[in-house]
Amino acid sequence: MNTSKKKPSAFLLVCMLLALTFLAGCTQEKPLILNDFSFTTLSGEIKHLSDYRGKVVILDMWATWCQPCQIQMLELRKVYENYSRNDVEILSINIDQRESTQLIQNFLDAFKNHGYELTWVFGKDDGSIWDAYKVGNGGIPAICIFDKKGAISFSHEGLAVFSDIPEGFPQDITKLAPIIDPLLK
Amino acid sequence: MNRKKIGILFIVVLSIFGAVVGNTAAEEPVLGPVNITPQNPTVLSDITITAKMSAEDMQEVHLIIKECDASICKIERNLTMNEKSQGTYEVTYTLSYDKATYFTYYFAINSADSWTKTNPVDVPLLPLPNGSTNGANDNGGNQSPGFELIVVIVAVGTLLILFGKKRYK
Repeated sequence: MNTSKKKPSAFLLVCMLLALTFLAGCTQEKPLILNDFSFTTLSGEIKHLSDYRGKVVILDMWATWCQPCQIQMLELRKVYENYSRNDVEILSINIDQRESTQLIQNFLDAFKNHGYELTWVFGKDDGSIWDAYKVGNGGIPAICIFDKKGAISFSHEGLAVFSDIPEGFPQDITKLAPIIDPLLK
Repeated sequence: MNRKKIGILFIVVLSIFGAVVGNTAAEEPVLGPVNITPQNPTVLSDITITAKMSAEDMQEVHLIIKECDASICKIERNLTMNEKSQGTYEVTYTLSYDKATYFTYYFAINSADSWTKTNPVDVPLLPLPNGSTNGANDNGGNQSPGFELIVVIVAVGTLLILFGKKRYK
């Protein structure tokens, strides 16, 4: 008699544990987090991510001494040329606090002198952007893409291309167009 | 008399100018031979960089180093070099990026309260031998068992115990 009373409660315990397993998996949905950060433009203006709500924003973290970052600029230029200013904005934020505004301007001038004008938003980080958004093992270039509402949609450490893979680049390199396009709908 | 005064004044001004220029024209640091040990470093290894340099009133010498592959550079490290012997500076650094294909370094030298940077130099890195992780910083994502797995294990364990008890009875 006693054993038959024990069986259902033990069985019930096992069922509850298994049910808990499935339910725990069902509650993994991430809450929508709207991001905001501030940076200083090259003209000294303080801007925020929230100033660009309604647009897909590409946060590009870089430094002048980073050779892959320089290649990244050419690919970001292709992104900027292929989307409307009303839809996409690029924020290239220099995350090395030792680098001066003049150094960054010299960097942009060098690109311009070679025929590659980089006309999107450039700025400097006070350390807070890098602390909050550095990707993977903390390498650069690093990209975060925010949707029109300011939720982070994608992040990537390392070089990424716009769409076509230039000769000599690895075939499995990340492409940005397939990530940006769905966010514009 | 006026001409004489003007002449003296001119000489005095020229002398002052010469003294000022002479004092401010500090000698630029001179970088001598640089040794990297080992000569052909591998990824994730310890490297020792030794450099001879001379400058007027040498105060500090820093090594700035970054590790890169074709698509990523890790953040630059700024290391203070120790004076091993007069004019010889040394620092040992452990490379930390497991996929690096080269590292770039340059020196920042503070002499006579003025900083001078040398030109950057790229040094290729050999990959790790096959199969060796050597403590690689392989961040393959979160691999720890989650809450769900622990619950499954407990549930299965409980079932086994119950069936085991039933058998003995």
